[in-house]
Amino acid sequence: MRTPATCVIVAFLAVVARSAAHAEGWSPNLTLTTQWNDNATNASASSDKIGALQTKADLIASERYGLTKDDSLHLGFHAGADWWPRFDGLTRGAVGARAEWQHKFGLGALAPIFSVELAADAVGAKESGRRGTSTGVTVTLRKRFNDRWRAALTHEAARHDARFAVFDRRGNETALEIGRELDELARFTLRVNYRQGDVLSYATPPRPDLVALAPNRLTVDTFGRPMVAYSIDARTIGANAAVIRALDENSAVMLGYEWRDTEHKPFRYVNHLVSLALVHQF
Amino acid sequence: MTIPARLIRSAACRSLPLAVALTLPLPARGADVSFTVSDANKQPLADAVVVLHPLKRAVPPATPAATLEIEQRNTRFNPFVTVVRTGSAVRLPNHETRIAHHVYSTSAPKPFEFPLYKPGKAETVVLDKPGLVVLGCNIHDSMVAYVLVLDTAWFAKTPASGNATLSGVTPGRWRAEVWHPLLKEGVKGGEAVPLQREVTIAAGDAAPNLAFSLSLGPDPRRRGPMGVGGGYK
Repeated sequence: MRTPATCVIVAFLAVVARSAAHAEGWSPNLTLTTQWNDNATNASASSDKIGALQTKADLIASERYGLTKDDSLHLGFHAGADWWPRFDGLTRGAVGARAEWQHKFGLGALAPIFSVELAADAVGAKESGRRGTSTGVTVTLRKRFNDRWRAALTHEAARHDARFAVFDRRGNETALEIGRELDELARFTLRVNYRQGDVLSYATPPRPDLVALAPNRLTVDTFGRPMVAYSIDARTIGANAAVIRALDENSAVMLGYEWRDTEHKPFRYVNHLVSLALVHQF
Repeated sequence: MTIPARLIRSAACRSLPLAVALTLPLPARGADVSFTVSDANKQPLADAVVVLHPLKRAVPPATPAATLEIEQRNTRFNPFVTVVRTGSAVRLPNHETRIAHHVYSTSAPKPFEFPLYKPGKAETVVLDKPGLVVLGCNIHDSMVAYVLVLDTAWFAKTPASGNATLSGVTPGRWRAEVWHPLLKEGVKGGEAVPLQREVTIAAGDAAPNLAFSLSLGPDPRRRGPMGVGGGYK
């Protein structure tokens, strides 16, 4: 989806929201995440693998507008920042808008919900070539089966248009998430996903195998030594297991592990990520 | 004129059921029956419904008309548990500052739906059939309240102390029931399944006390930012 089109749609939804009757108050949601990525360079060669710690902050606030008794519109904004203590060239910030239409098929907690969300962010980055705009459309079908089990099927089409073509990213990702309540305070989630799209892999040249796969590439010193960033269209399969536990009415802590396997034969790399997040709803 | 004794006995026998009906059920002279309800950890349990069902016909005590209300405040229903006699009306005011609610029930005794109504507004539902009526909000899945609609008049809800007393219980055999929304196996097929025990109240009994210990399941009102707000957005 083109950025202007997203803006037009968001503006249209804002007009619709003005005429909707039931605004319900902003509910800002702040997520602070610390994540260890054992392969921050997305490298296929072990000598190029660099593990790194990443910290993230995301603030999302939205307001709900009832359209009909089964439909609602959620308009909001997003602000986010990424900081890599070892590699501050990867530091970036983003601000943008969110618009989501939700339709609930019937009454009650067990009724399925279908939603379509549009997202648009302006992205700033310490390395100027990474700056640009990110847009995305996410279609989700959620269903709670009983007091313990729930599931969500999601498809996301996203793109990042950067100043330098090598940092552009386009991708389509489909994910299935299963959640199980462990007790009154804790939930376990398992998410599996499949993504086809651009990935950025860093390697020490010469890598003729990657040159053959990556028409867009750039020499960078982001990781403290000369490496080449290769933009490669690849498929990724991943799995994520997480436990989230409520600390009080407004806060929760989440511990997660994610495994990703990315491949465009003969190129392949794997990531292991461990994350700890604190979620607070204001 | 004298009436033969045989006729007097016969008349007395014919009128005996009427006499019994007029003299036996005098609820004002009944006993006070106390309930002590605790959870599995022996902690006093609030919001438990205690009920006595007469196993033989008994005249219930008069219950004054009351205005029952279940408010919506801070995206919760309050109270969590309400117990009413069949035919009672329950008012459902929205006492939020900004949030609209879509209150509904799919329970068999009284399915209803009040689509989105704003703070300051109220709806009323008449519960004309006995049974369990579970209230929810179609927007906020963590909002839930339980209304137990009973045909009997001998009932009460425990406060934080876990103690409740039913007055005017006439001598006889009774079925004592205790129910709580979180009681394990306490709801089956949409119906309340209480713990129960048969008790006999003898004339002159001094305040019998019935103790119940309940094993509870998870609270459906779970809160916290659990990914999708404890329910759906």
